[in-house]
Amino acid sequence: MKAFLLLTILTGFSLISLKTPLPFPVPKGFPPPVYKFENNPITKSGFELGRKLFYDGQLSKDGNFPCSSCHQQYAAFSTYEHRLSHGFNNQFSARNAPGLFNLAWEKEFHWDGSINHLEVQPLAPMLNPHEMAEKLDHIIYKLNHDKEYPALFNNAFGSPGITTKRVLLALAQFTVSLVSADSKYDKMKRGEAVFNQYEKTGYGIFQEKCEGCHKEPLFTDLSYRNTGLEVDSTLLDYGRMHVTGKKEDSLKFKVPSLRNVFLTSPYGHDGRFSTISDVLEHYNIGVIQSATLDTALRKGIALTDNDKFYLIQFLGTLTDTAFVNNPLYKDPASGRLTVDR
Amino acid sequence: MRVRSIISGHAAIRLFAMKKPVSIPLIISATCIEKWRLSKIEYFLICLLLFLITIPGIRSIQAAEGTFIGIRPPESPNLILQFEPTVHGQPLRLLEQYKNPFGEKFELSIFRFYAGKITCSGKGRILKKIFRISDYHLVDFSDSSASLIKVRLPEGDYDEIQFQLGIDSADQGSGAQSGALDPLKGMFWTWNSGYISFKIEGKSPESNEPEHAIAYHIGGYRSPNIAVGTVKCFISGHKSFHLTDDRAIRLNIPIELDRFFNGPTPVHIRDIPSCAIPGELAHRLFENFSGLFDKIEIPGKP
Ligand code: HEC
Ligand code: HEC
Repeated sequence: MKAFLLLTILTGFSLISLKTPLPFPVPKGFPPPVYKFENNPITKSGFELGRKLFYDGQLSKDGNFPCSSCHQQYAAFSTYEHRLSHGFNNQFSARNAPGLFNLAWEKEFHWDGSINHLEVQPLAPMLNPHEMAEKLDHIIYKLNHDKEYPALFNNAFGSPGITTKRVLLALAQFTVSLVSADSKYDKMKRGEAVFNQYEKTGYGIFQEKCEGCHKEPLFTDLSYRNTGLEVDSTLLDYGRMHVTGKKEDSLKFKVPSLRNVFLTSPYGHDGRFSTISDVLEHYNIGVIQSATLDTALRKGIALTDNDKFYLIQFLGTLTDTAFVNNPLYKDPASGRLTVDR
Repeated sequence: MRVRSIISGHAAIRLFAMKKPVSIPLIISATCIEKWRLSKIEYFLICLLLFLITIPGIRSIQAAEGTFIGIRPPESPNLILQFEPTVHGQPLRLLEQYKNPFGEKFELSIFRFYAGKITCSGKGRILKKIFRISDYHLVDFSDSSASLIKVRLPEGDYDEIQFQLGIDSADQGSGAQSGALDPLKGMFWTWNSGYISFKIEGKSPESNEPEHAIAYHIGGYRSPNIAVGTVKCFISGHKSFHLTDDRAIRLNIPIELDRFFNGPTPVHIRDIPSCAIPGELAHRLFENFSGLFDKIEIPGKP
C-alpha cells in the first residue's frame, strides 16, 4: 500500500517536472532580454524537444543537414573553419554561419537583420534550397510519422498535435536558452578572476577603439554598419539594403558579438578573414572608402603590432569553455553520428 | 496539533492560488488525521498526493477562465462576406484562360489574400474594436470554403465595411503563428521575414519568365514601401444593411480583376510578369490591388 502510494507520488513528480518552467537567469550586468518568454515559456520538455529537433536531420530534405551540421557546439555553434557552410546537394550557404548564443537579447537575426523574430528564423534554413532544402508539410509529415515525436510534442505542449507553430516554439526554447556569460571576462567582472597585464592592456585598447560598435556586455550594439569591406564579386551581397531597400543601408551588416571569437573562425559576413589578425589588419590598413562607410572608420583604426597583440590577448578572455562543453546543449542521441564537415 | 497548523497553512496557500473551492480534499485530509492517527510522514505523503491530484484541476480552471469554455457558448457569426472575383464580368475560375484589358492571355492557379480586422460603420458611427492576431483571415479561391469570411459584429444599421489587406506591421514580427498566419499557408517570406498581402500566380504566353509563369507576391511592411492597408467598401445608393444578434446575413464583395491590370500602374504582363519582393513596385501593385475593393452587393439584388 505504502509502496503504491510512493509510486503514484513519484510518477506525479516526474510528470510535473516535465511541465516545470525552466528559469532563464539573466547574467549579472546584462540588459533585460528582448525575447518574450511569456508567449513561449520554457519548460524542460519543450527545451528537450527543441534540442532534439536541432540535432535531427529529418528537418532537412535528404536527412544530412540538421541545424547542428552548420552550428557546432565546439565552435560556439558556428560552422567550424568554413567560410560558407555546406548545405543540400553540395551547395553553399550565402554567408558565414555565426555562433549561436545570447539570442534572447537580439531583435533581428542574420547578418542583414532580415529575420524579424527568433521563432521564425528556422524557416529560413529549413526551406532554403541551398541549406536544408525541405518543405514545411514534409517536415510536419515526417515528425508525425516518427516513433517518438508525437508523444514528445504532447508532453511539451499539453495536447496532441504537431504544427509549424509548435516546431518553431520548441526550436526557439532551445536556441534562446543558449546563453554564454561565463568567460574569463565575465569572471573578471564578477570578481572571480583577474586579468593578466596583457589582457588588461588589451581591454583598455578595446574600450577605446572597438567598444563603439562591439559594446559590452554583449560585445555588439546590434546595429548595422559598413566597415569598408570590398563587395565580393560573386556573392554581390549588399547586406541591410536587401531588407530595407534603402541606398543608405548599402553594404551594412550587423555588428557581430565578439564573445567566443577564438572559436568562430573564419570571420566577417562571408568568412573572408581566416584569422583575427587578418580582421585587425583590415581595420588598420584595409578599410575601403564608400558613401555608406561608418564615420568611425573614415581613417580606419590605427593599430600598432603591440596593440594587435594585446587586443588578441583580451579577445581570448571572451572564450566560454563552460558554454561549449555544457552537457545541456549536447546532442541527446549519444552515440549517433552527427555530420561534421 | 502541530500537524493541524501545517494543514491550515497549506490550505490557505492552495485556496489563495486557486480562488476556487477545493475544500473537499482538505476536509478529507483533516479527517484522516483525526480518525486514523497517521504518522507525519504518511500524512505528508497523502497531502502531496492530494496536491498532485488537484494540479490538473487548477490547469483546467485557468483554461476555462481564459476562453469561457463551458461558461458562455462561442458566439456564432452574424456577417458572412463572400468575395467574388470576376474577369470581364464573368466569375473567375482558376486554370481557365482569360484576357486582360491589354489583350494579353493569362490563367491563374493561385489567388489568395489576407483580409482582417473587419469592422463596419454606418450613420457616421464607426465600430471600434480591439483586434487580436486571430482576426486575420486568409481568402483563398482554390478552396471554396475559404472564399468567405465569417465574423460577428454588434447589432445595428451599417452602410460601410472596413478591413485591412495584409498584416499590420505590429503583428508582422510576432513570432511563430498558427491558423491563417501559419507559414504553411505559403504566405510568409522565410528569407526576409514578412507576410505576403496578396498572391496571384499563373501562366501567360506573354511572360518571359521560365515556363511563362506569372507571379505577384505582394507585401512589405517597412516604410516607405508599404504594401498593407485598409480598404472601405460601400453599399451603393444610400442603402444600408442591418445586423442582428440572432441571424447571419451574407454580403458580396466583388473583385474586378480587370482593374488590377488596368490600375494606376498598368500591369502589362509582357513588362511586369512578376514581382516577389517588397519594394517600390510592390507598393504600386498593392495600390492597384487595394483599389479593387470598394463595393458591397446584397446577394440576389442587381
Ligand atoms: C547549411 C548551413 C545551415 C543550417 C543547416 C542551419 N543554419 Fe543557421 N545559419 C547559417 C548561416 C549561413 C547563417 C547566417 C545567415 C545570414 O546571415 O544570412 C545562420 C544564421 C542562424 C541564426 C541567426 C544568428 C544571428 O545571431 O543572427 C540562427 C538563430 C540560426 N542560424 C539557427 C539555425 C537553426 C535553428 C537551424 C535549424 C533549423 C539552422 N540554423 C540551420 C547556416 C545554417
Ligand atoms: C564602426 C563599428 C565597428 C568598430 C569601431 C569595430 N568593429 Fe569589428 N565589426 C564591425 C562589423 C559591422 C563587423 C562585421 C563586418 C562584416 O562582416 O561585414 C565587425 C567584425 C569584426 C570581427 C569579426 C567577427 C566575426 O565573428 O566575424 C572582429 C574579430 C572584430 N570586428 C573586431 C574588432 C576590433 C578588435 C575592433 C577594435 C579595434 C573593432 N572590431 C572595431 C563593426 C565595428
